[in-house]
Amino acid sequence: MNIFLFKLTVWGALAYTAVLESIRRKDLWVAAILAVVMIGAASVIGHFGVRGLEMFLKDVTLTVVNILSVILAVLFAARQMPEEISRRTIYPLLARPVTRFDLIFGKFLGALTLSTISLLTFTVIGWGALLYFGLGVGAIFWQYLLLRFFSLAIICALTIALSLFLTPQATATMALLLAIGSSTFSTAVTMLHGSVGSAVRKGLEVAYFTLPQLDLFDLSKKVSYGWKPISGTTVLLLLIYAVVHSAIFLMVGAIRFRRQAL
Amino acid sequence: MRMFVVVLPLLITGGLLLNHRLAQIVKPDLAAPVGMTKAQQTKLEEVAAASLFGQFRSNMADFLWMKVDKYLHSGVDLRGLTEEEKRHQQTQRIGHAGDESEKGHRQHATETTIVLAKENDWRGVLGDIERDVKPYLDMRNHSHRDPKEALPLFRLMTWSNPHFIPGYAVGAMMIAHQEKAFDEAIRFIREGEINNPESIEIQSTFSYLYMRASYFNGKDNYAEAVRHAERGIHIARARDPETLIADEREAWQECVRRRVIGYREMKQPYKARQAALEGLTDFPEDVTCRKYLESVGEPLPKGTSGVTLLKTQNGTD
Amino acid sequence: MSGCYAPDGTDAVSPANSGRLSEFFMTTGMRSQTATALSLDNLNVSYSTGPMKPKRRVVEDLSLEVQAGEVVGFLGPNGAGKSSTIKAVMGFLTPDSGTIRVFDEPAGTPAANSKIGYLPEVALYYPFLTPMETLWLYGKLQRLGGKALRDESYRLLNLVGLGGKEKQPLRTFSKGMQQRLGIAQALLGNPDLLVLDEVTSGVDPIGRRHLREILADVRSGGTTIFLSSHELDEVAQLCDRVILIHGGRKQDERPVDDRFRQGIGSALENYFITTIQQAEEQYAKENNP
Repeated sequence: MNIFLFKLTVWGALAYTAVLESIRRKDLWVAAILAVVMIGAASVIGHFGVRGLEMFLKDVTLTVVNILSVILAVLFAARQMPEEISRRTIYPLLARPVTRFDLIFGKFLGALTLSTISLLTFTVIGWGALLYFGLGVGAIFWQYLLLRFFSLAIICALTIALSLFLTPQATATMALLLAIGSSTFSTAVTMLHGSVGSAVRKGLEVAYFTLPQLDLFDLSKKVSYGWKPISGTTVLLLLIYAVVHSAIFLMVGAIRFRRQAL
Repeated sequence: MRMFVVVLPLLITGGLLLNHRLAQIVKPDLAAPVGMTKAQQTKLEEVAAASLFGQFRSNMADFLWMKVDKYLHSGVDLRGLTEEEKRHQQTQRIGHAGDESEKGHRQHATETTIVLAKENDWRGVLGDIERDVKPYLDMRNHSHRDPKEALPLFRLMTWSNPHFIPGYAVGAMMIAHQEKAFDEAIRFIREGEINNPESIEIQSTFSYLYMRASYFNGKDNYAEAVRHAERGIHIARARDPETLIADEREAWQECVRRRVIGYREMKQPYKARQAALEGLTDFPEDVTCRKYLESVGEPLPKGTSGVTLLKTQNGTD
Repeated sequence: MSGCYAPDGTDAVSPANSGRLSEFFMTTGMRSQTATALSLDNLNVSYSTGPMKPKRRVVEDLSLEVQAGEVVGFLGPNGAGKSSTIKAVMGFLTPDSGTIRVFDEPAGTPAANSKIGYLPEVALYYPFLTPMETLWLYGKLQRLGGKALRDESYRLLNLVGLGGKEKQPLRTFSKGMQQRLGIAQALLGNPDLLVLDEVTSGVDPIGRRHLREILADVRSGGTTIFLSSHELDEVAQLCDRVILIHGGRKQDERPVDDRFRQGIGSALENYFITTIQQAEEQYAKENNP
C-alpha cells in the first residue's frame, strides 16, 4: 500500500471513529436542540414585523450559528486527546505502526468533521427559520459558510494543540477566550496601535500577526446587511491563512506530544 | 444517526408551529401591551428572579438601541475617537452626505470606523482582507439607510423595557418621518407617556410631534404642542435641578423654546413674551427666547449680550 | 503484523476459515527471522515528579533479551518498574539512556510496532463503539481492511469468547469482557511479539483458564510472548523463562522448569518471595550501612 494512501486510511479511520462516537453520544443532538431554541426565539420576535426586522433576524440567526459552532468546535476538539489518554485507549492506538502526529492529525480531522456537521446543522435550522419568513440570504451566504469552515479548522487545531499542554477545562476556557475574544482583541489592537510607544506598538503588531485573527473569517454581518459577495482573492488568501495557522498549531502540538510520557 | 435524520425535521416543524402559535398570542402590531404599573414593578422587584429578568429586559433595550445605529449604517461599526486620534487629525472622521436635518440621526463627528481606513492601516494584506470581509465604507461622506427599517427595533426595545425613554422619544420621531404616520407616532409616544408619566423627554417629543405636524402637514396642533411643552416644564421645575441628567435638561430647554414658538404661531404675543421671559430665568442664554424678545422689541434681561449669543449659538428648532 | 502480509505487500489470506489458532499462525506465519525478538540494553527510565523537582528513577540499568518463539514472564512486586519497562518497549516513554530493539528495529518506531501486539494493563475501550468497530479501527491502523479484516475480527471475537456480542456497545461490557476484547485487539494482524501487561487482570477464573488456552495456542504458533503478571500460576504454566525485577533493577532470571510447574505455582511463589526479600535486604544494606 502506498504510504500516502496508508496515512489517509489511518487519519480517516481515526476521524471516522471520533465522529461515530460523538454521534452515538448524542453530542449533535444537544447542538441541534440549542440551535432550534435560540433561532426559534429570535424568529418569534420576527412576528413584530418581519419586513423591518429582516436584518435583525439574519443577524441574530448568524450570530447564534457563529457562537454555537465555535463552542462546539472547542468542546469537540478539547476532549479528543485527553479522553484517549484518560481512558488509556491511546495505548492500543500507538501500539500500531502509526506516529504520534498521525494520531493528532486524525483527531484533528475528526473534530473538524464534527464541527462542520454541527455548522451545517445549525445552518440548515437557521436557513429554515429565515425561509419560513420568506427571507433569502443570497450568494454571499455560501462564502460565509466556507469561511466558517476555514475558521473552524484553525479553532480545532488550536484547541488540540492547547489540549496537549493544559487540562481539558483550561483548554476549553483558553480556546473559547481566543476564539470568541478574537474580534475584541483585533479592535483593541487597532485602536491602541496609534496611541502607545514604539516598543508596545511592536509587541501589539507581533501579537496581531501571531495570534489567529478569526474575526477575518466572519462574513455574517455582510450577509445580514445584504452586501455583495467578496472577491475570490480574499477567499483564497483566507484559505492560505487558515492552512498556515492550522499547520503551525498542529506542529506545535506534535512537538510537545512527541516526547510526552504516556 | 437514523434517529437524528427522522427526529430533527420533526423538531424543526414543531418549533415553527409553536412559534406560529406564540406569534398569534402576542398580537404582532404596534399597539404593544402597556408596561407594568409602579405597583407591579415594586412587587416584581421584591422577587430575586424577577429583578434578574428586569435587568435582562433593560440590557436588551440597550442592545437594540445600539443596533439601530448600526442598521442605519448598513452594518458598518463605528467607534469614538481615542484621545490621540482627537489630537491628530489623521483618522478618518465621519461626515454626512445626506440631509441631516432629520431628528433621530445621531451626529458623529468625533467617531471613526472600527475597521481602519486603508491610509491609516499598518496591517497590509490583513487590513485589505478585513475591509473586504467586514461591512466597511468610506464614511467621510456617507448617507443613512431608510430609518423605517429600524422602526421595529424601537418597538422591540420599548416592549422589552417600557421605561426606556430614548426608545419612545427617538422611535416616535422616526415614525413621524414616515409619510402619513403622525397618528401612529402619537400612539407610540402616548404609550411612552402612560409608562413614564413623569418624563420631560416624552413631553418634549409630544410637543415636537404636534409642532412638526402643524408645520409640515398643515394641521393646527400648536395648542397641543404648547400644552405638552408646559407639562414638560412643569415636571422639570418640580424636580431637583441637581438630579436632572443632560438629556432631561436638553428636553426641558426644548419645551421652553416650543412654548414660545407655539404661542407665537397661535398669534398670542403676550403669552409668547411671557414664556420667553420665563424661559430666560431657567436658561438665561437661550437663543430662541432672546431672539423672540428682540423681534418684539422687548429689552433683554440685564447682564447679557444677545447679539453675540445669536451669532455663536445654534438655536434651531 | 508482518505475518499478515505477503512479501509483495498485499493482504494475506484471511485466517477466518482456519481451525485452531496455532494452525493459522503456522500456515500463514512469515515470522521474523531474527533470533532476538526483544533486547533491552542498560535501560534507564525516570519520571518527572513535577516542575523543579528531581526525577524519580523507575528502571535502572536493565538489560534483558527475549528470543524469538520464547515466552517470558516479567515479574515483580507492585511498583517494581514492570509497566514502565513495557511502556518504554512500546515507545510510550522515552528512556533516559539505554537501547531497546524489537526484531532489530528501534523500539517505538512504526517498523517495530508493526511486529507487536500489545495489551495494556487497564484500558477502557471506546464506550460508544461496538467490538467490531473497535477492531475495525485498530485493523485500519495496521493496514488491514475489507473482508479479511471483518472475517478476522469475527474469528478473534469468537476466540476470546465474545461471539454474539459483536454489535453490543462496549459501555455495557464488564471489565473482564473488556480485557477479552483487549486480547482480541492484541492478536489482530498475527503479531510476531505479544507484549501483555497484566493479561488476566479483571478476568474471572473460567475466563482466565480460557485466556491461558488461547495464549498456549498463540505460543505453539511460534509467537514470542513477553508478559507481566501477578498470577504466578499462569506464569508457571505458560512461560519458558521468568525475569524478576525489583526497584527497577533486574534481580534474577531463570527458566521455568517442572519444579515450578508442579504444585500449581507454589514453588514459583516461594522463589518469587525469597528473591524479592533478598533484594530488599540487599537494598537496606546499601542504603543503611
